[in-house]
Amino acid sequence: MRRFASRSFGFEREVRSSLTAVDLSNRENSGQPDVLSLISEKLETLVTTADLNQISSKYKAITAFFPYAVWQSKTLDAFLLAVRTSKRHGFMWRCIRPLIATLLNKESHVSLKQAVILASPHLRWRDFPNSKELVKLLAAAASAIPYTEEVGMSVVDTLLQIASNDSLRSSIPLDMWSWLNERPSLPAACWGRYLGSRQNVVRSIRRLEDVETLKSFLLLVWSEWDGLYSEGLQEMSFSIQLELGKPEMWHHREDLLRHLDHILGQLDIGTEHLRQRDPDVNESDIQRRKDQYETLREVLLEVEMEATEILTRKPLRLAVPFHLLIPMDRHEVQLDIYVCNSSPVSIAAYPGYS
Amino acid sequence: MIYLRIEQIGGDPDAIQLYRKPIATFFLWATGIEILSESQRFDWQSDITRHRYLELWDRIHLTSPAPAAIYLDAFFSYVDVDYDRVTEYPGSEEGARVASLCLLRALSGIDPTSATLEDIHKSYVAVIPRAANFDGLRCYHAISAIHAVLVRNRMRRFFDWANYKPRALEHIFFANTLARVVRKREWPKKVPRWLLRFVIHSISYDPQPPVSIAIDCLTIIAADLGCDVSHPGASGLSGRYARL
Repeated sequence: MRRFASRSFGFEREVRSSLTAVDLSNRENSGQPDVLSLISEKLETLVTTADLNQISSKYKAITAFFPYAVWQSKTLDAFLLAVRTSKRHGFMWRCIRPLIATLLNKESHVSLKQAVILASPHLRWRDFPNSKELVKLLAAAASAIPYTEEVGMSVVDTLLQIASNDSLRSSIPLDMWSWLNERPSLPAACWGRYLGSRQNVVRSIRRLEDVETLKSFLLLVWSEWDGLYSEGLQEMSFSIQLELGKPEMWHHREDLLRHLDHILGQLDIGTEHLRQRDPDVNESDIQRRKDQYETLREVLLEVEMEATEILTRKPLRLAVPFHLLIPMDRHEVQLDIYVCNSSPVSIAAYPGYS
Repeated sequence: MIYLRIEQIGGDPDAIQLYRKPIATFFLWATGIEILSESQRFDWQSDITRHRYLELWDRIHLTSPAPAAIYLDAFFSYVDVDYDRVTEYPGSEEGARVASLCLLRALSGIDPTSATLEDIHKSYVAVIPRAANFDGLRCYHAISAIHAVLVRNRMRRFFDWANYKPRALEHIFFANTLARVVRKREWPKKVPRWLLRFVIHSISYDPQPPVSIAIDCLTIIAADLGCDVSHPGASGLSGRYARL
């Protein structure tokens, strides 16, 4: 992941002169520490001492600092470090919402948009049931800033959190889902990854009818750091059977199996490793996660076996054009019919793609 | 001439006590002209800048709390209290606004443990009920802040900043006053939430507010985070008004 310090903050010279870093730092009382430095140093101290309770209890003050922190890379780094260390879901105070919309406005400078994008995973999205316009502004801002791993990580985290919110999901622009295909390395503490395993999120992604996006999504949300929602797990199994069952999908299945093997390997290491993320994690949590990822592995292997079986029965002939459109789960699925004309003669149907 | 005389009185608490009524009247008048109207109607001598005037304001009020009681009386003369409902007398809206701003400013300089503040508190609660409703007042934000400082009613934590759209000078004056309220007191745990709401609201302006407001707002944040902001360098007036 790129370090924050490497970001370009040339905008500091361009922003309105009334609130520049120079003005805030060069105080008339040169012998005294300026207040901006006091706050940054305080935040760094809280992070260094890992005083999570203290950081969490100060979420209102830290949120109030955000609009002032966005103007300098150093202060923004201090802010982001504090909120990321807190690990609290929806760290930022809801009072910031009107300002977030202002900063994401299309006339706003690209670096301000970037600052909001980086902070966006820490907004309490569940508090914004009627913020469809804000989601659209966020999507537009995300596409307007240069891609970095850090930006990708923040956008994906936020996207999955928004998607888990029933009232906001429909306002996600279609092209925003393609951020999943960037597959950034999500941090150990990532609320989007956990909430993204909800059934409705999985179903929404399956309905995009884009195998690449579905695979990227699964690679992102499957992690040793988090378990899965049980309904989400069922939906994932169904999606794999439905979307990844065709013989030519073998490379997707292979990638997913490799990823699952890695996760199961990590879970075998034990609790100490996982307690870095969550000090309260225990053996039963880990066993539950193992069971979930084993289940998914079995589903993938089963699908793989069925696909292999089709391929090994020769000669295989595709009866084209013979498609059935059947209503399934309130969604039309196109079926390709495969006919094996060697003995024994059999007919198989798999979801097709037009 | 009045201005120069007040400058002469300057740091003499006894003299301020003696001349508290004309001094308070002068500052009520000058604050109304300078802070609220921004009309430049005040015919200053060329060497008396706004900066010098504000410095004098602070010097007088930090030296003696005497004018604060007069501002409180002035405020009472502009409003009517019916049970918990506080309303302005017709035509008194601007007067109440100036008096409340001056009172808040004067309170911000008074030692929170002093007998003077206790006296003002008694006078205030004798007229204004604890659960007072200030909705609709033109001085809603200033009097709500005064109420929060004097009464500390938990209900006032949530007073609304959404409609707070002052002119630039009033905003600067108000932000600096609130920063002084914070600096003057010790906050073992947290500064009140209404102050942090003010901080977020203040930066939401378009165009951005002057740097003076940003520094005062940062002072409030720093106090909540447990930084030592009691020294004058953390949010002093000097030098910053000169840039206006």
